[in-house]
Amino acid sequence: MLFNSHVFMFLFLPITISIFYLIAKFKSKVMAVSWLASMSLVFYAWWNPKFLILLFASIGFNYTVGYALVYIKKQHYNIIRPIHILVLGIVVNLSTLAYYKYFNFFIANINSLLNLSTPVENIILPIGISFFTFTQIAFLVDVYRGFVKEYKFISYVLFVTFFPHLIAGPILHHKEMMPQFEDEQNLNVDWENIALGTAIFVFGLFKKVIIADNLATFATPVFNAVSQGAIPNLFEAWSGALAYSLQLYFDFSGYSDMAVGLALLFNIRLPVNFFSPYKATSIIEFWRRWHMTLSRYLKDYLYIPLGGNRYGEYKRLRNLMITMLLGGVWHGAGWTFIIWGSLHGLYLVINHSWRKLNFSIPNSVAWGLTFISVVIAWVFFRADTAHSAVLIIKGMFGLNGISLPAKIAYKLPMLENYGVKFSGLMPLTNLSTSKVIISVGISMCIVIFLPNVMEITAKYRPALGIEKKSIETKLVKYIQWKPSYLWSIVLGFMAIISILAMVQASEFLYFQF
Amino acid sequence: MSYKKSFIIMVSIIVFGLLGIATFNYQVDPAGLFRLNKYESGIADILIKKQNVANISNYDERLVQKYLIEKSIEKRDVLVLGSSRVMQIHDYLFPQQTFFNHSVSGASIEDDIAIVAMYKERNWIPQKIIIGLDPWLLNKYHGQNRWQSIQEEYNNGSVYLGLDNNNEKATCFNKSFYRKYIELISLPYLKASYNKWRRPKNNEYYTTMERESTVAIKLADGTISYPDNERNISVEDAKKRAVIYASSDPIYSIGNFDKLDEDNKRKFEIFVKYLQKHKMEVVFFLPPYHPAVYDALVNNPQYSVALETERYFRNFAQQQNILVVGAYNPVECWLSDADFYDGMHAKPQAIDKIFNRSN
Repeated sequence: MLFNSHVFMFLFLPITISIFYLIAKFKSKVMAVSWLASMSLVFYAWWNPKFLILLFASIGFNYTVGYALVYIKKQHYNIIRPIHILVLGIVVNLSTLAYYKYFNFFIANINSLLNLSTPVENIILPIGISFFTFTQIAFLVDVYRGFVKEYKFISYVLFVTFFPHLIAGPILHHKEMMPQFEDEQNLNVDWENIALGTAIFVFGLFKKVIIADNLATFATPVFNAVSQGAIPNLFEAWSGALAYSLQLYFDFSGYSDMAVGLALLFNIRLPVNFFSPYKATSIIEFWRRWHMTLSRYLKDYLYIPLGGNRYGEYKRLRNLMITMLLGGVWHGAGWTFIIWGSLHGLYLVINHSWRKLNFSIPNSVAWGLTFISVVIAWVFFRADTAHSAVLIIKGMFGLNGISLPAKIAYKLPMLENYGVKFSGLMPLTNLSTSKVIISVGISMCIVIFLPNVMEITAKYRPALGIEKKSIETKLVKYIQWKPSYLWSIVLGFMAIISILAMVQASEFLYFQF
Repeated sequence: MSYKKSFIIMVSIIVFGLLGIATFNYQVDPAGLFRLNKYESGIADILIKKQNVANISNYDERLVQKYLIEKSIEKRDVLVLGSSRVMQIHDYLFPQQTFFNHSVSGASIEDDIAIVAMYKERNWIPQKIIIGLDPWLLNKYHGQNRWQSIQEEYNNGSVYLGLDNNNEKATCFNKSFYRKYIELISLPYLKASYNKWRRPKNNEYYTTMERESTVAIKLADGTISYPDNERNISVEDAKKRAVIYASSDPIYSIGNFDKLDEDNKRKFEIFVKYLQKHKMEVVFFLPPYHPAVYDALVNNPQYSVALETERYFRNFAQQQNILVVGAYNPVECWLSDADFYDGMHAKPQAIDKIFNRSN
């Protein structure tokens, strides 16, 4: 089920909330948690009920392994040590993920390398598998490290399946969620959370349906044309790359806002996942603002276990590179994701090395360099092949030529001597140039100059990690959310426009990961 | 203001706003989802009585087909599907057979599938189906979305054809009126309602036995007879129109045609094979363009794929043992400038000539 679907908004959500608070009225925590867990399973099964078995198996296995870890730690066995159980748990989780996500990629590459023709299997990627697998690996590591205090099965099921985060994150820590599920205070109707949650949900819905889906209409034709062998010129390559970079941001951060808002409706605070990443003035800062729970995960469960920065500069840079490479692999089975992860690894290596030099550059230049580097990497993330990505990047650097509007050909005929064509700015896709410029321009202004949703609502601590001091955009004092007629009316209309535009619920981009 | 009050105001705006929009959409009901559209339904009633309808305007051609098939009591032996470019295929070309021309302006493959699905709902299987094949049928960016007013019928057709196996649940929902009610709060339906609400009232149509007039006449066999000034256009004026048409950028529905769309090809092939499997004789008709337009298509590399569609249709016909009538190239059909009303519509005499020569 999609958050931006009618069945979710007009059927699933009202039923889930109403019965939750009805149960909560009787102060039955177990019943309330069981209800939320059951509805979360319905939410998951809506996509494909067959994969409920996989989800159940994964939950059952990890809960048992977690339980065994605690038990073995207490008993101090000599033969079986906790580390053995932990390794077993991680191997089984990663093997399952590898089968569903990487098996065909592996076979295809072996075939190509050894000139074999091993048939690939028809494997359907279960939605959200990367998210629920990683969440549970973190749980096992936390149990091993002694951070886990709560072992109630039904609470664990809810921790893994809680529908606002189940299929596209944020990636949760056991220790930050379980106390909230256990807190009886959270069974009370809290109008502040309900009003705030609804407002954040509407912001997220608007970002997804109105902004991201609109940008997709400019990004997709360019990438499709290139995948069919077309060569994009300077303007078309930039418009496709920029439109996609913005689409991905509004899509995924819109989803994260909706998740935060939905959780608040049940008095649960999820961790913040986005904080204006395109305002970053360095790649290090970008990763502190983009998909923050994945960055945290990679840092805590990969970078630090690899040694982090504890064994000198060379190993630190090596660990960064490995972490980002695997971060790329996590996103999908394909060379384009591996290149994307490696590029970010390289960017981070350069960024850290640059910092050592203590050489500062103006903020605007730093921002520009960071933004362009991120956009270039997104081209690999979106393109269907590395070859297509290279074609677009060459276009962005003007290496595929420049095409200008035919109308100005008579004014600048001399440019033809320098290889400039006059076939229009977007000859491949025939998209309306003015629409592209306006849409991309407005979206850029929003991400650069306006406060993000977390800042607008920071006063009310909408998510874990967000406080009043998190606000950094000055403009926020004029547009801070508060219960008022004006905000209610504005959000009401934003919701109406978004719902009207939900003709066909389009999937969130991160569902594929 | 309290949080509770703020929440209630916000939700009230959403609920009452959507209710208001739904009421407006329901009242205007541009696609006739909730009640018969009297105008289109009235046209269908007259055609069923085998009479001609004159002075029709601003109507939904698809809805006329829908009502006509739903209300008909007579099975038909020969059907014509396609765009306005096949609207001159008349019943007299098929003597001794019951006939109807179901062509609609700007037809896409979805229209063809929807119309066959309507017949299937009635359990009627025609003997012969003539499919008008415009090049834009295989253009992903043809921009034709008028078929959406018979979307429910198209969805049924998709199920019959097994086009969308993965979407069975969604289709069930569509069939169970879910989709229909969602239209009440959809932006495209709101736009359509607004346009219908704003546009001038339809002309009063009337029944006639005439076949030619100063106004357009929808003939009882489903074909169209253009008004006198259109029908009697001079060769020079028709050529002028064709030249303007050929120089339009892009040419009608074949802009951005960079490859034959795989999805549309798949739909088309499954559709044709379905017809053959159910013992319907399929005939492909390639409607010719005006010589000036055809020259433009040949000379402009932008339209090379549009012309490639003809090769694809012919190859597919050969594989499936299907008769092909006509060609995009007017010369191949023995036609000249005098055989056209404009850049893309051939006169009935031209169509007759093509069919007679093919026999």
